[in-house]
Amino acid sequence: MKPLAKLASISKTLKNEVVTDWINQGKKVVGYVCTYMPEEILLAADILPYRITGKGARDTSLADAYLTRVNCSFARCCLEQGFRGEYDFLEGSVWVNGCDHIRRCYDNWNAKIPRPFMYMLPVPHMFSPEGRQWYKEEVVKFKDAVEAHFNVNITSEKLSEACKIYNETRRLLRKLYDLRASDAPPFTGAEASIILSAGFVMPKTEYNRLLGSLLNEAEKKSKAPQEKVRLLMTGSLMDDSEFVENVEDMGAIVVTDALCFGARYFWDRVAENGDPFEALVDRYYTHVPCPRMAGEYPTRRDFILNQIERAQVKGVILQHIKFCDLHGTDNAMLKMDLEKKGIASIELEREYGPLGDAGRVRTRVQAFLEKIGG
Amino acid sequence: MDDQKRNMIVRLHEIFTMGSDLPDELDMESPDVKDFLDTLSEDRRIAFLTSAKDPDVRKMSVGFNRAFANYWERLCLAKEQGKKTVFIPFNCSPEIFYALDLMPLGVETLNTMGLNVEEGLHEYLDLAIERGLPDTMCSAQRGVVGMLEAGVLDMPDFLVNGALGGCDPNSKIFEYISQKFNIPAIYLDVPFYHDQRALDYYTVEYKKIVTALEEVSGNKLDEDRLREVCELSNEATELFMEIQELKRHVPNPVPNYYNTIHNATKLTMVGTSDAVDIFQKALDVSKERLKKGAHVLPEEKIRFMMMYTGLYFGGNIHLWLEEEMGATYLLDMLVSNDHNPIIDTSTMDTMLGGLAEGMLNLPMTRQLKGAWDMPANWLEDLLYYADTYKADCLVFTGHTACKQAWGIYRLVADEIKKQLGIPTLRLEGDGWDSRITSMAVIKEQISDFFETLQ
Amino acid sequence: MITAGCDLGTVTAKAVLIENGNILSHKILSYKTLPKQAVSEVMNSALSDAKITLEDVEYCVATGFGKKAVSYATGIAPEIVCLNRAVRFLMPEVRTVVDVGGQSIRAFNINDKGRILDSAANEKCAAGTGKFIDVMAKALELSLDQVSRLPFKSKNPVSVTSQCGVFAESEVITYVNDGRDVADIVAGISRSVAGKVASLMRRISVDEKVAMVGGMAKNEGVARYIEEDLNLTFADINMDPRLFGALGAALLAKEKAKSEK
Repeated sequence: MKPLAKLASISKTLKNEVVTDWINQGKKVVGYVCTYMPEEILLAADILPYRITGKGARDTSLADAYLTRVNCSFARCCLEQGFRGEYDFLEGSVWVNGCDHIRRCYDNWNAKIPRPFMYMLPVPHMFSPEGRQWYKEEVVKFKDAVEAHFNVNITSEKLSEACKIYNETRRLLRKLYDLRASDAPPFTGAEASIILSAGFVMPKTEYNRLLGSLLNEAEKKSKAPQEKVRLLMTGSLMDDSEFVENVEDMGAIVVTDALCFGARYFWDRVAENGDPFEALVDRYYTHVPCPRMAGEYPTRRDFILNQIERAQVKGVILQHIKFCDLHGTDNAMLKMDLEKKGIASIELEREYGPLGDAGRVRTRVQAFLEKIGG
Repeated sequence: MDDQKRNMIVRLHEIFTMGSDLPDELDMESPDVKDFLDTLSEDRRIAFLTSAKDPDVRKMSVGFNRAFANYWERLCLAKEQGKKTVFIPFNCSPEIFYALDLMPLGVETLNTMGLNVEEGLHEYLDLAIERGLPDTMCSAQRGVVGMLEAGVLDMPDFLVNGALGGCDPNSKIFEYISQKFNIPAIYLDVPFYHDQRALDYYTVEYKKIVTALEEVSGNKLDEDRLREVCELSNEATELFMEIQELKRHVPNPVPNYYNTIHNATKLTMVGTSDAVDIFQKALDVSKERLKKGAHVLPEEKIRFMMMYTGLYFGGNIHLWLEEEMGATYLLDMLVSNDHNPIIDTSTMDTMLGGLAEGMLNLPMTRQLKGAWDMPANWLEDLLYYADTYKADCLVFTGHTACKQAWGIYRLVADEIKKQLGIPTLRLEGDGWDSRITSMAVIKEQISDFFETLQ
Repeated sequence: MITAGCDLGTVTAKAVLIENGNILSHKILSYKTLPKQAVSEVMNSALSDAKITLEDVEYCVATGFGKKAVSYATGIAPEIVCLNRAVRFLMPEVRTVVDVGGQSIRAFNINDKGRILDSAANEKCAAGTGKFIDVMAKALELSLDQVSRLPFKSKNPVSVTSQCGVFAESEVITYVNDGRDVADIVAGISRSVAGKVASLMRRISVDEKVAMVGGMAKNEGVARYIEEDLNLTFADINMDPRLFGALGAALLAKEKAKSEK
């Protein structure tokens, strides 16, 4: 099977074929929700980290009894899948106080459908020396908890090895984004979304192999430049290739992003010299900041401006899930700053999952693309 | 000049100055009073009656209005007098600003009091959205953003935010104000837990804030001045704790409106002698009422608490609750200060530590950070307050922006029912925007709910 | 002592007269635009059936959406309190009640002492209520009776996903134009309504026995889908489900008359 098709097949269902394989080998899978969770710790314990999403939720009828209509649809869809037993293959999950919605998703999940290993890793909301110290202490506690529950020993060597594997993933994904930034991107944004999505739910060693083949193939592809409008997408988490497809359908191509399911996930690497644990803490604490990190808006804005330049972006899609105040407000600030720089942008409010309204999105994007000219 | 274009603080100063002149005797039936009432909008009329109709309440209101008249005046004159103004959220204690000779403006306090200047804040709530803010951001601060946009409020010199981890919309809006209007912002991280380690972390952060404030203002923190402020704060604490004790009586002698007075004073004025005077008066009046056997007339039918925010628009519901429902409003979570520590005033260090601890225990920060089943969190506090003050029932305003509260309402309400057998009512009312659910509908829902308790 | 209860809903007005725990008469009257007239007529009709006049009635409680407009009522009471009384009287083993009427859905628990413990009601949205079924029935040119029975003939129910009743109507029209089987369309609509009701019921704890009252209880298709969704069986009801509010009001009237003596 060609690599892209394989990745598409893996990202289609929650309990995909590689996860099933992993479990059949007698190994454990642990879910997580946020990029502030240091995955390498789990890999070093030979556990598969699996990024929880609300994929496949047909409605939120069970989740709505606990999370409510003012809680974001992503959190509700995740909880819904939890209630439906779709995540019973997880030995447990590691949560972060990323935002109010996901924090409450954890509270309800832990109260109603706890799996054997339920863990909350609280991350500071600011960058400061004390914050880093706090984060480090929390990661130590987390490591200890993993060792205790899974009866393993996470040595410095194993951690180092795990960091190398993840760094390879990061390197390959960087390469993917370099290709996307070129005059002739070999993948659409929708395809890139599938490629990224698969990586969150499979062992990184296998993913690296597939990515390697994928990139080799891509480099061999013809380099004819295309005429579509080049866009950057940022905002609330985006694991929905159909949404990206909808945006691109009107004559655009998403060539880069600042999403936590995209560039922000892999842009920074773990230093491979010195103590691996310290390097891990540093990297995860300071990676491209999420809007939850107070006062870091300028850093994120500059990251986006950099991406715009790098990938010759003509327009920016500022999407946020309804009730996502962190991204919604961030987008409002970005709109102002992008305008000052003469960069066109559009704010799109959306719903996650089954409640999403594709028709409305297409209409608005079409108008935007006409405005900025093909 | 068109009234609506005048500065909000100036207008509040005028209103509160008028309110400082309430006489001891006030004949509600006299033509003068009736004429005056006719000049007021519906919301203002209700607010006025709530604070002035009952002679006991009136005694409390006079000093309260006078203190706030002074407060708004000091804000008006700040620039002239070379004093810097700081916008703070409601979960940021005011004492340190007084100690540093800075003028704190409580954003939610201004937003709430601004409701009665005109008929609600709709124009400002909408303007903020028009100019970019997402409409799911909290109306408790949004009105102030609109006021800044409309130019009826002067820009502050800086912003301090303390809601990180307790409330995303509250913390994010300060970043928005900072970016949009180019005002320096200082942030204070709130830890996830409520144990000693968390307090130690928070105290270090708090001390850094103080240093940052010294730097941006150019004012140095003087130990004696800080001691003076902390001692006044402690006095205020002791007084309102005594008033809280009185609320435990069945029937409750403390008038519903006291909660408004408590809220505004605690958030904006503790650390000043005005706050001490306000609480002293309220205590004296409430003790008198206990002696006289005065309470919600003609009989106290319902003792209830608002589980989280109160309802602030429509001139508020205190009077309706007392007069028509026979209901005593024990407290709402934003007035929950029973765990407020007394500050150790021995050294600079102990005082800053005490202030930090006080701030970590302010409403919302204390109850809505972290996980729902942690110690000192929402559930535990609700169980404590409902039990201690013998609440018959709980009402959740369902303020639209309280995503973190909505997300665990079910878990908490179920647990309270299980442990205390107390029923809860879930409304869908926005605390500051009457257009989400009108006061008439809210009153009907509360009234129906009360009937199910009989 | 004779007492009366009347329930002025958004679609029908109901009246019940009781004496010493026995129902003397009851009446249901549909109306279109004149609720005050309807509520007078329905009471006159019930009185006439019982061969008495209003003077013979000791106390009358009005409930329902239009309770404040009932001029002849001695007092008013919330719907949920009246439903509670009626259920306690007729079916004391019931612990959860769901009432789906013209524009309202409400659900509540009753504890072992008969008191209301927890309740939930729809707010700001009429999706899932009788109004929705009414609009659909008219659009499909079917009687309510047909709408009630057609889902049982469905082999492949359509999927109605719109959260909003107005948008759902567009969805349904699309299915009609696509030539989908009318039984499948009605089944899809019924399932959607049932989903809304079940969703509201999940806001409280659903403890056995569970009773469904209100006009929607007569819609067998919807009732069956709710049962499937929540994995339960509704208790049997031996009275027109639309009369519970008025009966409860009459029972409450008796309590109030006694306590006021």
